[in-house]
Amino acid sequence: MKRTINHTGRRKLERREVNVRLEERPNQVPTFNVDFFLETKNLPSDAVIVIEAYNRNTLQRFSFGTVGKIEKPDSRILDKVDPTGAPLFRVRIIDETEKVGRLIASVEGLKPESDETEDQRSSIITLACRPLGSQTWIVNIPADAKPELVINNSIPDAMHQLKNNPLFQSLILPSAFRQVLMHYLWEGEFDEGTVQDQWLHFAKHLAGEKPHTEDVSELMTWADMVVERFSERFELCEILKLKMEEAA
Amino acid sequence: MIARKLNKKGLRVFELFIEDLRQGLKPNTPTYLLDNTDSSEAIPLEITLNSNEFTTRYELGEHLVSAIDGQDMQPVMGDTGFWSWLALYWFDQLCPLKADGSRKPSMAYNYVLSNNYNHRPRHAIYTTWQLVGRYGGHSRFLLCKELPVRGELIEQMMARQYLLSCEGVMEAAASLYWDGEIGSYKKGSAARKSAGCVARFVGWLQQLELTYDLFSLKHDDIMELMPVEFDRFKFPGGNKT
Repeated sequence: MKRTINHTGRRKLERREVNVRLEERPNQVPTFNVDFFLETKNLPSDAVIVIEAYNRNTLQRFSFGTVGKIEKPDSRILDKVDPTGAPLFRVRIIDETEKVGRLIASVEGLKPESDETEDQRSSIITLACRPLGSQTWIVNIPADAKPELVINNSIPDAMHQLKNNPLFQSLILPSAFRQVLMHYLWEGEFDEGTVQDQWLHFAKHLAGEKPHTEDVSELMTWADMVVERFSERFELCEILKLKMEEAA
Repeated sequence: MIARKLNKKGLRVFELFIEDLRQGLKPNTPTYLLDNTDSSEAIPLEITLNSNEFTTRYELGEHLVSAIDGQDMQPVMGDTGFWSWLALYWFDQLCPLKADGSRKPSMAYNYVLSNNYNHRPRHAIYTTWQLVGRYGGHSRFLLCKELPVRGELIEQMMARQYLLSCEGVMEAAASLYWDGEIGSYKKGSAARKSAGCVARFVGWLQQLELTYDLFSLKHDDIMELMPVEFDRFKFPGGNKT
């Protein structure tokens, strides 16, 4: 059995003790909000709480008062953090009674909570809104996380449009679906239960078994069929036409 | 010249140019991409640059920080098109022509800002701006080499990128390793294993980080906590008084 020894006496905060939410608005720098549910039993009430937002090699630190008196800073604008990716957060609780601040509890890599429902959490793609310059949308495919469909946050009400507007859905989703699928097809074999495996499972469910070949044209034909079935299943073209007729 | 950003097409041409150079070809630097509306676009900031010859990366950083003149950089922070445009603008200095007309570029991510977490800090201009903008003269020890050279010290400090965000750490490192008289870092700083070298400093800070809040440590706190192995850089003449 693997054992670890905590020489530092530092407590690892549980993720449920801190709830971070990102607040993104069109054409504005995102801000964040935090709710604390700290188990304060072993934390001195005068210990200082700081939160660091970080993305890639940029970082911004905010002071949140003390364990006994949490005070949110007036400005929680993430204007020093690289906006080209979703920020993560770390929380540090520091004992400042001595000359040098001693770290007594911390947690790293907190993802901001989204408005996703349980159903959406189990989905195979995540949605995000970020600055994209002149591009309307892109797909990010990280190696070890769900693919992400990002829509330009300068589009008014972008996330709502993507979730509810058939025009957005019918024009973006098939192409985004194809991009992710092709990416995973080129990658080859995957372990069971990985995001890639879930995608291929879903694709098989729509269009049957993937051809056992490395022939690019055969794989592309299969991917086309998957996207076609996906579009059929969600009646993307029909719903779009209906909405356009209603609007006319 | 007013700074702009490369668009998708501009970036692709710039990348292909670097690829060609790395294959030993001798294409001309595609500076036409810089102001051609087909390959670049305006940015929401006004940054006027000059094409002076810089002797060190630090000098380039000083010029860039002064040209930015306190404008809010958030709209272009991490923007691949913008930082790659800057690298193209200064490419002839970052990757000078050799006598035989060839160039020896480093990996493309040194010039085209990468999305990869490990490669992004290796961008010649982005990291220079971050360091000079945040720490001014205290970053000189990391950027004192000529433009084509990233330098051993910055490579070692980047092993733990969080350190580059800690002001006290950077100030302490500067006072340990910078030698103002020779205008470079002190002899022995860039060693890999010997006592007190930057690699050992980084290793020691990683231990310190388990106990202390590195971000809030001041220069003097770090100097006081420092073990004796760093004395050879702290008191280079052996004089502790």
